[in-house]
Amino acid sequence: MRLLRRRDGRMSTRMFGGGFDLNRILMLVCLLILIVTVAMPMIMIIYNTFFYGFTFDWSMFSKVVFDPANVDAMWNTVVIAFWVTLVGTFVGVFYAWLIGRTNIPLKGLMKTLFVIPYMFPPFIGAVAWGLLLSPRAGYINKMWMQMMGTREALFNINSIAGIVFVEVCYYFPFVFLQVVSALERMDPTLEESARISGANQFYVIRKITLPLVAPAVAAGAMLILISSLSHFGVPAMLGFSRGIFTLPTKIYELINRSAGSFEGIRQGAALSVLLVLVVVVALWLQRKILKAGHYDIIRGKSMRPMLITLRASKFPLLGVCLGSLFVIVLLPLFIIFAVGGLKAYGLPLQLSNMTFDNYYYVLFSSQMARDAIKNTFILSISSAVVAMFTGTMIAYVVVKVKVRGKAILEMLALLPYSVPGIVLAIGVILMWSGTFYVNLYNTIWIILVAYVARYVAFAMKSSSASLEQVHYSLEEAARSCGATHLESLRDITLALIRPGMIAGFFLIFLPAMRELTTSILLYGPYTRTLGVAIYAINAEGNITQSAALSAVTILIIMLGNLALRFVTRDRRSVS
Amino acid sequence: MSGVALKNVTKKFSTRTLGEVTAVDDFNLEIKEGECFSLLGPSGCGKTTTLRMIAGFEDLGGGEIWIGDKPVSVKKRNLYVQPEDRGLGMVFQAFAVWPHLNVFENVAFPLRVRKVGKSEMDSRVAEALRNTGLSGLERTFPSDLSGGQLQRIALARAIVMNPKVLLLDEPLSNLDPKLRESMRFEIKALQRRFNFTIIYVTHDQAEAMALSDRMLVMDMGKIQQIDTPTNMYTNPANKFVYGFLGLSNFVDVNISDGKAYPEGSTGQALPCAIPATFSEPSGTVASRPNEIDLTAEGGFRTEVKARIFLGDYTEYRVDVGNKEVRIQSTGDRGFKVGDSVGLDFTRVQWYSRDDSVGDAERERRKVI
Amino acid sequence: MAGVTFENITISYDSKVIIDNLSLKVEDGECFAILGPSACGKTTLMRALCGFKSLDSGQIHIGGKLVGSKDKWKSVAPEKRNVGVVFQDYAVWPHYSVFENVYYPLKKRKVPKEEAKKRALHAIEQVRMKGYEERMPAQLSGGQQQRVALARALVSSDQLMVLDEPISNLDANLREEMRFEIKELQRRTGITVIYITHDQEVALAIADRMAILDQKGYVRQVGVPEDVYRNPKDSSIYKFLGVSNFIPLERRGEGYALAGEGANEPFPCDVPQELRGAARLFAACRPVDISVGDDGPVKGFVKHVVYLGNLFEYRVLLGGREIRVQQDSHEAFKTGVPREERPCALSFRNLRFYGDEEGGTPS
Repeated sequence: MRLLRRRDGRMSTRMFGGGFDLNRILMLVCLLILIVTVAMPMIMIIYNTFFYGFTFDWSMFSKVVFDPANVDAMWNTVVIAFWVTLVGTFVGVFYAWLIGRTNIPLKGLMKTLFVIPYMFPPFIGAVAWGLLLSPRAGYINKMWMQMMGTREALFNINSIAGIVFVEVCYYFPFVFLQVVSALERMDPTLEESARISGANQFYVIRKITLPLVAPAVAAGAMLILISSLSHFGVPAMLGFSRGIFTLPTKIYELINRSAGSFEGIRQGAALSVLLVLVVVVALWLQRKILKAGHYDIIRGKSMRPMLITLRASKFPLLGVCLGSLFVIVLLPLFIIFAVGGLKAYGLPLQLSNMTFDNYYYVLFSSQMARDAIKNTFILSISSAVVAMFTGTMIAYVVVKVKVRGKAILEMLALLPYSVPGIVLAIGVILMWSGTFYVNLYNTIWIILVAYVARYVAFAMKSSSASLEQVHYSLEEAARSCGATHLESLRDITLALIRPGMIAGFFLIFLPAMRELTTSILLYGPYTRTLGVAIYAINAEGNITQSAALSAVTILIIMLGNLALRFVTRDRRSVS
Repeated sequence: MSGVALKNVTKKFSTRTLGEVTAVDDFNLEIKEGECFSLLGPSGCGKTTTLRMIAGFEDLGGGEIWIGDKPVSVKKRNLYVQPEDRGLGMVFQAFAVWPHLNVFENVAFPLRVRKVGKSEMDSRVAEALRNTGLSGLERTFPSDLSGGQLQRIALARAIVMNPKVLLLDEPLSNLDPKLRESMRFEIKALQRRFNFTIIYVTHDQAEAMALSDRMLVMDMGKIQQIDTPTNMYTNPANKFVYGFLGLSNFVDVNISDGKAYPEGSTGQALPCAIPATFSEPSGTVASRPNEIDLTAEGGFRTEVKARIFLGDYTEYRVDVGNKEVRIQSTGDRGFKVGDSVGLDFTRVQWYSRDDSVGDAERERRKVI
Repeated sequence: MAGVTFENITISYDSKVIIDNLSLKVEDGECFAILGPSACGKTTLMRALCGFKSLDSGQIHIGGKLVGSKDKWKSVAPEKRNVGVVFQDYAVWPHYSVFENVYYPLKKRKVPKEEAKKRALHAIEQVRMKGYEERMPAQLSGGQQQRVALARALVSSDQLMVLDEPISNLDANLREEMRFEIKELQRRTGITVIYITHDQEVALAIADRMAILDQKGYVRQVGVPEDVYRNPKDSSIYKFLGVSNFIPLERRGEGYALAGEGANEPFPCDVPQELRGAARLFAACRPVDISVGDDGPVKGFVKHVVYLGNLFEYRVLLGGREIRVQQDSHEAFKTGVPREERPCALSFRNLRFYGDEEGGTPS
């Protein structure tokens, strides 16, 4: 029995209606999936950090946290993330502004090229820059030393500065894309009204454009910050040899050193808690500092924004852009493919030193490499499919179904976004190594579970966006035309979100292909992924082969991106 | 003297789908100081482009623009004064109020740019807010305000520097009808008080006629007529202007023996005198729905095709020859669908058959 | 062809009652308008009629058949109700072409292919979209999409069509054209149409009969447009149906005078029997039924004169209130246009009288 208030103020009663059962079941299923894949690993980490058996014991946590080596690693993590965010944001805004607001030539080309680092695995970039700037054998350093006649390298990439440089190269597109998009969609009359009010071009940029774009900048900067704090590949490739550790790499080293023992994993878990705390504090600080609101500045009619005419500075600036594109995009690509074709690392880059042997080896001879390629494909495709369907189902419940408690669902699904990959890996290990009678350790399944947990968030976001565009009146119109509920879901809803689902598939497939941070902790002797294989071969010292495998990986990823572009181009789909 | 003058102003755009499009074609216009002048026309006719050229956001393809006795855009000499140096005020269709600044800062912006001292700034802003009915809202942010209030902020900001010329680009089209009407009165009152020269762009002919001292109708970049609202409504220069200014009936006629026979009619002539100046063998007779009377006997005989109740008015649709004619009268004449009825044209306008200058271009552009 | 009856309908969302014990009867073959302000519940009523919202109590019959009832097992699913619907946002499917959109209902009702194709093409022609069959909705303007929705509704049912604010998003010219076409379509096919809107102009123009709902979802008046317009039952209906002037009057001896400032001006009028003797009343008048000139029974003051082409509009101060007057510009020029900021004399036609200004209690 429920009490109702009528429109003229009087009260009345009504018997409780039913019909919520199917929706409730759907929600419970989604909740169960998320709890098992996402929530439990997190809980296991916290539990194992602070509890031994069933007793509360925080001695290990404090021991780990106050260990000077770990404090050092934490400090490095924070310093690197700080500089990467600062420099990356500046670089991103600079280029975004050049492309979005000036009449610099070759915009289309540069826009495409500036986005390429976004699809690259940063650790392959680290490999490339190692080839170029490692203190003794790096090609640029060697050239420099020859030219200058010294034994001093031009730049040592195996340093904090080196790590910052490489991470900036691969993370600045986060800010670049956000800001370019904001600038392009901004209502030009906001700037024009400032001009008419007496402000010249520069005053307008300072007082109007930049403040209005601040939310986009903040969003991009936040992405850079989280990515850098959680990142494993670049500090691993460039820092290990010099004993420079960050929290993610330290976690790996701890576990590796203890050969996967439970004690080692517990310590790793403790460090993970520390890492998550650092992430949370950093996010909170950033939100406080930037405090940028959300402005509705999208233009309505199709108006062209006013472009600043560059006069004397046009060609120098173009030179800067093309130069940096060369350095960021082309140089690493070139060196990877080139060294992949060398007979031995260190040999001068001339045709007489070239061979296809390395490529042949990684593609056909090396069992590990071929296994890695196979594993990566299997994992990427299956995790993308599973995550996509799960994510779409969750998105459907969150967007379309009227049921209580879906806020929890949404929160759980989006949690992995802010959890570093290495932390998730540890949680997955703790969860699926026999504690609950299921032992997936060292099998490919454990990696699959970790990937699904990580990527469900991506799929849910992309499917939510699609579903929100499918207004309920579109389904109802189908019902009124004679379609049953199921038919309307099939003919209308599914048909309209299909492009979004396919895009969602690639949104997971591509990152999964180039992933290293999570699989580095979860791989077993036969379950190496491409990232792990490259890392292992490099660690063994087979530089040319690791370069060749990196080159192959890059090719596969580029093909994947082309496929994505092809599939998501505007055809007969949702406007 | 702060009138605005356009001399032979032309502007062309090159588009991907249509090649070159002439947005503004050889404009010659002199707006007097203190005048409220409207640019009226359908969307895509070039009126906004013209306004933007006056503001300085678009350069000229040819010609000159003068504000007062100073040239601000001269194509031949490559002279182009920046928008910020033209001393204008402007109000945009989507308000263009800055969301990250509060009301005070929005209105004070033109003063801050010019580094006006604090006390003068405070008093000027206060006065502008008072004149637009926004006193008391200084600390509020735009996101908390309604469309009407946002438009007033834009107005206040435009007048705070006491510009000689105020440009308004469809400023009321995003507001609901009641608000539009009251804002019209407010703009008119402001203009009378401060004697701005106002250049007002709109596609709403009622708005233009209500506000303007003089107005201009344009189509496909070409000026069709410049006149006072009353003159233009009572004597439209061509069929386009006639049709644009209100509901119209156009009946094509053929002249023979001094009588006008509607196309498709069987031998019945229109009971309208042919003006002495009209010498062509065929033409178009234009009339307004409220300038035709319905009679039981006499007049042009036809049958009531449809009857629509419009509250204060009743609309009848009849055929005159092969054209449908609409008649609106107050109250109910008692005619029903199917009744035989006579039309008495109390006032008509005569035009040549093809005097629509913009039709060819309109067809060309529609080929998208 | 089918009539529709709503019997004692009550509908609520969560704990709020939206429609409270409403009853209406729509005759077979008529064009019936349901007119009410935004958010009054008319869309909810329409959704209940189509089967997308359950009833708390009451029954809905279409063509004599029970379709909606508070018992779920007695209600008919939306796809089986045989109602053609045009939604407020058209709901034209973006991934189907114009033809595919219109063909869909026929496919669902398992009409044989050849016949279905013919009917779909005919409907497309009826809404004047011939030649656009292969276009995708993204390539169409708002008005064209609306016509596609109309065609689709036409083939969905031959008995009942429900239109929910189908033209409110179009520009003025297109609105007028489309409302005429809808009416013509209805006249030609004889289908029953229920037209839901907040725009009184459209309702008056298009309806054979109409019902007026108030803010709270109660039916205030039902009738033929001419009748409803000339004899609104209460002042809120009067106001809703068009621009109106309400003049407050006070009892002064045997007659009435203007209330408020500038009072004591006698206001000669014919107050109807049931209101005679009231201490205060309101005289309601349309702008077009007031004349401004040099002679007249009542004195006023002209504040604004606005030229609108075919009309002049005057804002006149009367008894401290501003009233609106409209005059054909032709006539105005003949008799002399009133001047701003000058006194004038007013005479009134077609006055209606009400006890209060805000509208009475629901019937």
